[in-house]
Amino acid sequence: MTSEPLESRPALPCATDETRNLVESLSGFGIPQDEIARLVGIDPKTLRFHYTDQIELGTIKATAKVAQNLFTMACKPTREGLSAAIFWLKVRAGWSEYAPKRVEEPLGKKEAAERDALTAGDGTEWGRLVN
Amino acid sequence: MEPWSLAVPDWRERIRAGRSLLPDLPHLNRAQAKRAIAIFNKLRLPDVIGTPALAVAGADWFREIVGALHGSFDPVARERMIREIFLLAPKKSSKTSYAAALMVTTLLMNERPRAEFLLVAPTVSLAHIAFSQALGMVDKNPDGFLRKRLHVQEHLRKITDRRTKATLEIKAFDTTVLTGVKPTGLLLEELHEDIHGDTWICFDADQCFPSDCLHH
Repeated sequence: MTSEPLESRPALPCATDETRNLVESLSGFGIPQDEIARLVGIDPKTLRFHYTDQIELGTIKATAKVAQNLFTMACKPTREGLSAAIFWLKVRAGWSEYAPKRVEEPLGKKEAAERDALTAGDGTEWGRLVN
Repeated sequence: MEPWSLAVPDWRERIRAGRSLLPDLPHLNRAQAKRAIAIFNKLRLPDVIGTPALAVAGADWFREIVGALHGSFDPVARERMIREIFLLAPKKSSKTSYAAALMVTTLLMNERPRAEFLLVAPTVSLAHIAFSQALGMVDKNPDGFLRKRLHVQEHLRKITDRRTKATLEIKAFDTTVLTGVKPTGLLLEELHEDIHGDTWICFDADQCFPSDCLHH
């Protein structure tokens, strides 16, 4: 008895340079992966499997490009440059009244006791007597 | 350099005349001696009503010993010229309180990092009494300085100077089997061995363990 060969899974559409550029651009614009997959005509899981680099690099490249542009603007002595500079300093340098205050780590019990011991005699007769 | 001699052959006349039993020490570092006595005087007797300061309640004969011991350090040679003191005193003369006060003073005068000071008593109950005195002196310090400066571990009978990390431990030991320690200063309380005495104080005791001291 001979068995019929099983029908193999249909070949996946090959990733071309065109689709790679498309995925990278769309990912950089922030389009959700489900929608990119639909546009390319593949399943979202297939998209993540075959276009991992494009999905990751798209966002990085887009952000870098905008940052470069913002930086160039911020360095210009124009009105737009001033706004860009203010934005840059607020976001990157923390020059903002809304920036979270840096909270110092509270000292441990032993650490605090040792620190207090060093200054315990200050201003008293003990301070003159002991080292 | 030869250690200073503390011999006073005229001790009988001195006692009769109520004079000091310490000889004149011309090379005594008076500033250090004065500083040690000032620290000693500021400590308080914890088991006396009103917890008086040793400036009032302490005896002059012991103050002299405190001064001589701490003033005997030669800052140039970096050597202590009085390395041992043997003290024979009768009962009820506050020997244990003074011993505790001397060791607390020494801990505060000490500049050597991580130095070890020992107060050794022959029984646990004596060690407990001595530690209780030292602990009381730290606790009864009115301005709270000693509580901040010294870390007391009651369960170990140990007091640590937080600045230098030097320690004072009060141990109950048979003095003939005291090993495994490298003390900078050692005070043997109630010595009842070859010689009958009460307190043997041994400073810079790196090479001077009790068994050696006894044969001097």
